[in-house]
Amino acid sequence: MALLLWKAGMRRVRPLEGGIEEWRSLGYPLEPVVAAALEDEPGPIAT
Amino acid sequence: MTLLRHLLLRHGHLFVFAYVLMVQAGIPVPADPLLLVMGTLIREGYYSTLATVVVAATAAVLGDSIWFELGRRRGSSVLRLLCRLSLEPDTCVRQSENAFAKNGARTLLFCKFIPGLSLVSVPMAAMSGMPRWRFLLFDLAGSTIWTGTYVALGIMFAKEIQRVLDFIGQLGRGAGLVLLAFLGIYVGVKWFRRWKFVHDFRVKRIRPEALREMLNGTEKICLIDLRHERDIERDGMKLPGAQVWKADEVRSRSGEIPRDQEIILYCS
Repeated sequence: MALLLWKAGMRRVRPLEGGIEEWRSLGYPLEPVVAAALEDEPGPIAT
Repeated sequence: MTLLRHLLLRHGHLFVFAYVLMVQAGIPVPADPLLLVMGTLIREGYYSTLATVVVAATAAVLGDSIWFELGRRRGSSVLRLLCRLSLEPDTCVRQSENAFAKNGARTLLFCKFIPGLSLVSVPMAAMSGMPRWRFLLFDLAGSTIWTGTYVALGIMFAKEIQRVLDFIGQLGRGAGLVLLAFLGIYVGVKWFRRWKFVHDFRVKRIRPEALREMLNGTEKICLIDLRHERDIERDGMKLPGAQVWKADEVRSRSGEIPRDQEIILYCS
């Protein structure tokens, strides 16, 4: 998937070490997934 | 292909069995040309259709059973191994996950016709908890459809295939070697590019602590959740502001993100 993004011209791509599970284990905040996020609606861009 | 014909004439079903078993065991060579050439020999009266399909399907099921048992015992490590063998590892697992989510066990009926999908479908079936009897039933049906189709095509287009074989024969051994060299360079370049990408990608990983600081700061970043839809639905949570992208949306939605923006990917 990351390679697909790279092929699409995105060079500043970085993976999160440990994924969501490590993020969760550190007690950092999460938010609920709304149904639209699993469909076609693009989600907000994080700032 | 000429060599295949020669080997098939000399060793018959034993060669078909060994070759198909080898392919299903993970050697990255196609079995389809062998079945096509076998079809031409059946047309010429050398072998029986039923015996060929039975032998090839049995070898395919036997090879698949090895991956099925490995998938049951080792789970995702088997998928990682198969990804190393695949030339398109970035799409093969996701493609199979989607096919399984959509079609379940029926994926085994057609997966052998799709490169990449064939390789990972069997361990994925095992990891989905499919009972052995169900796997054997669907895999036997799928293997029979696959071998039967190519043998039937070989029988139907025997003359055309023979013309191709004759043409290749006229080109001689030199042309075959040049073709093999090009194929080797193509595979080598593809593997090297992937190895380099994975190496660079590992180096650039970001720690959760650093990401949290970035999220609290002013720099604009784009967070993308790469987990499979099923896993996201099961979890119900994501990182703050993360976008959920499906694998097939990468190209179409890549325009949404400015090229200079940092993109952080995460999965489970």
